[in-house]
Amino acid sequence: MGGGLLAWLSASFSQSAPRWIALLALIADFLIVSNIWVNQGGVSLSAQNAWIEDVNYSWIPQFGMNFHLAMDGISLVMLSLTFFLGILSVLVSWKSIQKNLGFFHFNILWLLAGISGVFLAMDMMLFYFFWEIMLVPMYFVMVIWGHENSKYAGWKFFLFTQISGLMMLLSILGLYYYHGSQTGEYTFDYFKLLSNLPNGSTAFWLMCGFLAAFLVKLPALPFHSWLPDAYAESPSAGSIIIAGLMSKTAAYGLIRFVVPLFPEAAQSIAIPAILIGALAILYGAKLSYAQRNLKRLIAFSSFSHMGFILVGVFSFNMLAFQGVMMQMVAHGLSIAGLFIISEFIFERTGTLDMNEMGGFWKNMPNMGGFTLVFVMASLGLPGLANFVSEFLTLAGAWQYDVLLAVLATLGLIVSVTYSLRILQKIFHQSPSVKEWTLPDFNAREWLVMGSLTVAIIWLGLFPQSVIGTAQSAFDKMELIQMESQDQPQEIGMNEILIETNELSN
Amino acid sequence: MVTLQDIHFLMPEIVMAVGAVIVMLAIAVKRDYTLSYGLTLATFLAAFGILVLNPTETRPVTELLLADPLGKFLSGLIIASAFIITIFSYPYFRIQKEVKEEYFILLILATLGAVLMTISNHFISFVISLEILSVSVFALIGYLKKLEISIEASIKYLILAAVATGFILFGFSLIYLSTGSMSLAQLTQTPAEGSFSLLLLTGLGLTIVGFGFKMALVPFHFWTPDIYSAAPAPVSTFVATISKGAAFVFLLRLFYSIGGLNNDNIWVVFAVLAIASMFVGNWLGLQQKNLKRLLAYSSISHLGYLMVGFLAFSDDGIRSSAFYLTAYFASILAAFGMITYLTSEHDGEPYMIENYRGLFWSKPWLAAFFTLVLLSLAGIPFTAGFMGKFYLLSSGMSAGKIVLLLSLVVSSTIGLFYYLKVVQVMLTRSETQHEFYIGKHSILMQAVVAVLFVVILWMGVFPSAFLSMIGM
Repeated sequence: MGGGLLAWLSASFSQSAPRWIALLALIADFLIVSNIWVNQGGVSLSAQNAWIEDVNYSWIPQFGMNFHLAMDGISLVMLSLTFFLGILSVLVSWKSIQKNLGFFHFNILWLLAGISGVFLAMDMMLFYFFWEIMLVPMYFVMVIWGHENSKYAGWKFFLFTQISGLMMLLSILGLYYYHGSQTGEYTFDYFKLLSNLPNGSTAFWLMCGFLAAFLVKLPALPFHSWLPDAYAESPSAGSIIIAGLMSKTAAYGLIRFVVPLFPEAAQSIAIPAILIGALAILYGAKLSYAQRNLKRLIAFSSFSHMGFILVGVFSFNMLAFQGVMMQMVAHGLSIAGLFIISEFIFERTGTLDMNEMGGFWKNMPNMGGFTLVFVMASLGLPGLANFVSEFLTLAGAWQYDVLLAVLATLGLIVSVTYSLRILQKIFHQSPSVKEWTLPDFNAREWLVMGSLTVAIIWLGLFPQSVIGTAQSAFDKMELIQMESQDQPQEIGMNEILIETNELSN
Repeated sequence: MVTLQDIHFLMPEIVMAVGAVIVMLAIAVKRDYTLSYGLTLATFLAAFGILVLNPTETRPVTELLLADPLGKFLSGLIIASAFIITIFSYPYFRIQKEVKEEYFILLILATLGAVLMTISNHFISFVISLEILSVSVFALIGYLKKLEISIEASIKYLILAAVATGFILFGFSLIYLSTGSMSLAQLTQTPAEGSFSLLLLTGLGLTIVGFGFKMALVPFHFWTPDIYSAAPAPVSTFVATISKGAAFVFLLRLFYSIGGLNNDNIWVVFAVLAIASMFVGNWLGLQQKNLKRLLAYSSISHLGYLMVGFLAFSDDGIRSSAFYLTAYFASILAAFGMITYLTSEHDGEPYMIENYRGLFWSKPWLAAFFTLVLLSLAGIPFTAGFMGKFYLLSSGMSAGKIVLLLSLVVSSTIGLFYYLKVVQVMLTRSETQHEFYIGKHSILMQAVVAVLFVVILWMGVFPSAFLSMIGM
């Protein structure tokens, strides 16, 4: 799968019509993934083995590294999202990117390959490799095709993620040697490492390495200073990928690696982590409200929403995990929608400053309508996907700590303010600078926004499709976690499991 | 006594010595630049071939030298690098208005010195090979004698190298005084665990100063940027790779055999040198506008990283250092090769970073290659540099030297700044056209660039073959 993707990529480099090739490649990938979903989704629900696909080749035997890819429900959902947003980002840049097409699409495809690799890798080194592959093409996309200040943004982004990535590398190595010294077998294989977990302060420090990488990429509260620049200065395809997908790789990493590998250490930092998450929700919302630049506003709103992920992951129960899963998908879709709208506006007006905009509804009622959908999604209107995810997350957090859950819930209220401000500033208030006469959507734009809207409403009404797919994978993880901990937990995992099953049935 | 087997083992060195003489005689018969170039290439090729065919074994060869896999691997690396440097030199010196045939003699001799140093097992053989190497390098640095800056650099190197050699000799004599031996093989047995007399410690300390200079570890690094920027690009390449690598190997042999790293004081001294090199190298690199000086600081920091493998004080440490040296050689050769490649008769060397503005748009392939090289130096995955760093980290981790590892990680991120700066300059659009450069007409040089490109990627993605070569 991932390998096939890579083959596609190299072919697309020097072609004269890279757009079509990129688009077709991504559609093909998307179809493959949806096919797997349709065929296997139902079966794997009940099966004990939650892994849908499993590929394992020897890579660097001297270090015990394998080319090990595996797919479970979580990966499946994330892959579908990856390719879906990939298709959209190619479509969005159809008109706005005119220079060096081949190289642009080459970068985009590599980027997506790295991201899908991250969702599939089951070898820690391979995971790290894919994690880092994302960086270089993202940097190029940002610097070459970005807005005026993109060099600085690219630089900052690269450095932040690089140093945190290296911290993770150190932790991976630490894990490797820990396992090796305990069992005599030096390996980077995720499952083998899972069978022999470190404890005490070793676990804590190793976890910190992983956290460094994931919290920076997410980004979490103190590490977010690269975010507004990176999100706002990228071309839109870049913004979509970085906000819609890359930040999800961090969330995925938290669920896949931090929680199962370091269960006790993760428990020990749960309260501060949730607190950070809750504060990020509020602080992000506040910053978002203060922005004039549309893209920066969206960037901070994304930062705010990522707080929910942190809250959910560290609440340690099924409900919250499901919420996180939903949040990854829903936020991916809604943030992509908002960035795409900002791109369409930028294409038409050449500015992102909201003070110069106004009264767009008159000319572009269609765009206004779509914007309304995504703004509502982002503020968590029931019936749209984000509501489901935020509700699940908060319900999960409630079980863990009531006070913090309340704090996080306040974020929902604040998000209303900045979301509505987008709508009000751009579409309704009377134009302050000049009267704009702008064309409404064309067919391509209809296609992009229409498909996103359908997806977001569908997930809002029938979240079961995502929850069910990821369920088996979570069950499996909970099992592993419980096996690895001999002493009884303070949370009644079983009760919650039953409860969630009832809820989702 | 020298046996026939020993002669077999020494054939590569003999070939090089004879090759130097042949080139000299050829010049006496007829001054022809291309001829001496061809002879030099043939010499390195023959030496490399014989080296590869020689059996890999571990045994002393006379009292002075030692045959072992590490020595063989590094000799091979050095000869191969010398071969590549020769190819870079040919078009570079062809456009210079100098008497240039003798350049190749010096190059062969310097390489000979370096190779001998990697297989030395005795103070005497080390000092002799060091002198062969250094004296040739003085002349190489100042080879373009019409350039004042070149001469200045040469004299600077001469004086500092002489002082460093003095330190090493004095250190050696103190070691000899306290142990009564000059052979590394015997030094292994001499000091009992952990018991180092003050005299021996002083001796080792003085040698550390000398080696610190040879390898340009901070605070003995001041000569590097001046000499790199003033010397002709191929010579800078030589100084950055071969002469540093060879000195490192002997340092490794000396301190591993005498067990010096068991002593806490010595270990701490080296750790401080290593950490200082990483940080100072990367820190000073930030401000550079001159690409050659930038690479000089980059090489200072790389030697600092290399010390992590050295300080792991294990077999894994040796192997990771060897692997890292290979990755470092390939990347630095490629980086300086790039400067040489774009040298033009009209404008000289493109040593300023500004000269590369817009390269990405006028010469996409070259720029892609250079980007890869810079990323390799920065240690981004899928390049040789990353695998090398990974292996160093892994050997350091197994030895439990967390402080070193953290400083490696942090300082290499600082380093990223300036590598990215060069990449960004290449990405910026400009009207500058890169039209006349020597690489355009040299098919061999283009081939070498392509080979280095493949090697850097290959080592980054499938290092298995290289790892088995260094004995894993």
